Amino acid sequence: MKVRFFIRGYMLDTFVSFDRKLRLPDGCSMADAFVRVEKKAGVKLSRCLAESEVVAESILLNGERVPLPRLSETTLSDGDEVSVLSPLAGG
Amino acid sequence: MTTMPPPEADPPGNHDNDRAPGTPPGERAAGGVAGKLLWVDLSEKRSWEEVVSPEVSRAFLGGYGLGAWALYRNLEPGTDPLSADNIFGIVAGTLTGYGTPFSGRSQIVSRSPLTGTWADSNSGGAIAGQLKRCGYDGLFVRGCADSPTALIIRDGKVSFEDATDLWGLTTFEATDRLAERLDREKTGFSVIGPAGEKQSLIAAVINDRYHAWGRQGFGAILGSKKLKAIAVQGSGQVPLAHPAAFKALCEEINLPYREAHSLLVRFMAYVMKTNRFMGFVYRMITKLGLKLPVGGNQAPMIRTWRKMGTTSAVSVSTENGDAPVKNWTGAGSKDFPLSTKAYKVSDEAVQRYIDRSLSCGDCPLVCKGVVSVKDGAYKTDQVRRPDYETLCGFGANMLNDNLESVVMCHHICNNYGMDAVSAAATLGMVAELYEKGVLTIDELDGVDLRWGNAEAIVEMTRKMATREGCGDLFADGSAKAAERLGTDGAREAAVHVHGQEPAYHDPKFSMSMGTGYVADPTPGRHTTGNASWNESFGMKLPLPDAKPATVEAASVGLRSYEGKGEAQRIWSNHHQALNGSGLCMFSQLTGGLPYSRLINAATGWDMTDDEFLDAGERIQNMRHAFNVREGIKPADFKAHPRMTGEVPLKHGPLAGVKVDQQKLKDMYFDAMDWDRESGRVSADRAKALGIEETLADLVG
Repeated sequence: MKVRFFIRGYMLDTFVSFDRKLRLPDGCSMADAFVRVEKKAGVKLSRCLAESEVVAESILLNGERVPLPRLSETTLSDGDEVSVLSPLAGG
Repeated sequence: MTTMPPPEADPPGNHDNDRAPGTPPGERAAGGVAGKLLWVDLSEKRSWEEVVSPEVSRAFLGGYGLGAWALYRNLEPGTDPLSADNIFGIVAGTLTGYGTPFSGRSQIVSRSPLTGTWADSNSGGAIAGQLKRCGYDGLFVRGCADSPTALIIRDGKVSFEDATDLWGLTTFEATDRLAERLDREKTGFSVIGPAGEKQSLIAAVINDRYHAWGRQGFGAILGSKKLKAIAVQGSGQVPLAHPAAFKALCEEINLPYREAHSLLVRFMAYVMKTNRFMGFVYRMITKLGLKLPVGGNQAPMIRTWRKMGTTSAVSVSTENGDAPVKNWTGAGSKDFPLSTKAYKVSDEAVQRYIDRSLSCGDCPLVCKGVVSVKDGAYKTDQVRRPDYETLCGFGANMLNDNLESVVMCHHICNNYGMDAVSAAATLGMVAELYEKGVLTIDELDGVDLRWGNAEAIVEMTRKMATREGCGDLFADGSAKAAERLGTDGAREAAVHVHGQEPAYHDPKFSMSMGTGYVADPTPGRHTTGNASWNESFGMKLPLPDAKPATVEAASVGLRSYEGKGEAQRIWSNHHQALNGSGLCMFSQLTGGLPYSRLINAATGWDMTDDEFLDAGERIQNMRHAFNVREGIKPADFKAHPRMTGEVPLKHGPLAGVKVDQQKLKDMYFDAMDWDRESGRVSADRAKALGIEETLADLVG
């Protein structure tokens, strides 16, 4: 299955802008997907989510928030869109 | 702390230091502060000077602080904001006018015709720096001209020039016309457009073509005084107390920004070295319209901001819920998804229209831009790039993914002189009422203002800016429009705090943003200094030498209420000290500047980081006391139920999220020692800050 990932914002002192569709095994959980995607995105997602409350609160699956403790039990489907976002200053 | 003098009964015209127009300025104070204000009465066509004591300059700094000090003493309570008796002041910060990094800002203060409250705004633009070069820390204007007037100030000479030929012109046209006879590079221009002339309560003042004192209706104040334009040229320089130390500090600040440039640009900077060589280089680059190439080892923050400014935040904020959409009833991730909609009005998409970068002046970051749309229905030439608020407002909020139409809406706002935040929010209310059938297409003069109809959005923006047809109904913002429509539906759809629409940051995402909306003396504003700098961005208080307990208390959790009142107190005080210094809030983005060291090098003072924060608290108390004196109660500033989640969102990352905004406001008031019911400042705190006599009738 293919899942689109948007990972964007300042994470661990790096500006990340990642928007790609990735092929994942069927039944893959969000937690497993994050392990696979972090190398491609160039950011240690697990560390970032542990350190930043605001990023941990901004994990979305098809536009709805997924709480951090539920990443392991949330399985992805073909065509899903996953966002991990760090807020940026407006003005 | 020196005790401030009580309010004076005498009007400023009774000060004994009147000076006939045309005479040269007198002796200027040494050490960063001019120590003088220029007062102008448009009715009597006369001007005079007021001396400001060094104690006042240190206690209140400049900018909003000096402005609040001057207005509190000189503006009678109950003054109609659109009457001749109202006063507005354009005020320089303590660090304005020396090429200080991030100091290309100008500040304005008055009583708002939109909210009836204290009003201030901090914009890019040269006018405050030019005032300082004239030997003044601020210009205060009262009275009303008989006919359209341009106020021209060249050093000490004040001219009241006929502006009949400028009346009716757009801000671009009026500025360009003035620039034909006044050197554009050596003059600060502040002008109003047709919206200000027609006293739209959301009218703005436009500085140097591209920067706006946007919020709270300053354009209407100038319009009510028949003051079309102010132009200031100064040829002097208030001396610095420690020029070498000041220069060294500026170099230290500029270094990481300089290192973010390519070797070529750095070589050019070295070859063309001047006393303020980076400021010179940036002005050169801006003037030549060059894009700034960056190398490989710079802070990503600098690189991203230099390239995209606040536009980089639009897609993320729409998706994560920070940016309200569909007049606060939708969820960006559902109604304006990042992958199909939000990307079209954000960051890289906006970059495609960039002609050149744009600086406020004296800025190593240069985060603004000038854009053109080369052809099509929304063709524009060399207009200001829409930034975060406008892209969210005319884009995501209206479910409009036509970027070129957003550029046009933004240009209409700037060119006609109207606040883009309030205008877009009012459009959102109108679209909601139209979609619900409360307003018909006939009532909208045939404009089919459906969500996402770009053509209609542009047309209604133009109508509001010119008060044409139904635009007159909406030209004073959503609260006034709802009042005129007189229905519950209209009142429900008008999202505002005490008459002013909040900016495009949802308190359900960052709760301290909401505290600012309902507890700052200027309701609905997002640029008043909130603990959300820490809450959202994890930013540490950029005052390393402040008391450790203060630095620690400025850090708070995202969803917890614990410590939020004290954190808000610290951040809002810090922000007001930044305003008093004359700096941009984005100077904090890369960890802040050595603020008090800069001030000390400029002035010769020995200010500590803690005293810097105290100055901010003094400023915040003066702003707040102004409202208390006007009879405004804390309870008058209410968050709209859509802002708090009392009317919950059904979808998206903020679905079901509620924020107890009253609790946060109470916590902030407690931290500031302000009475929750009356707003009165506590006697103890006022005494500690040295303002107990100034606020004698309001403390206790």
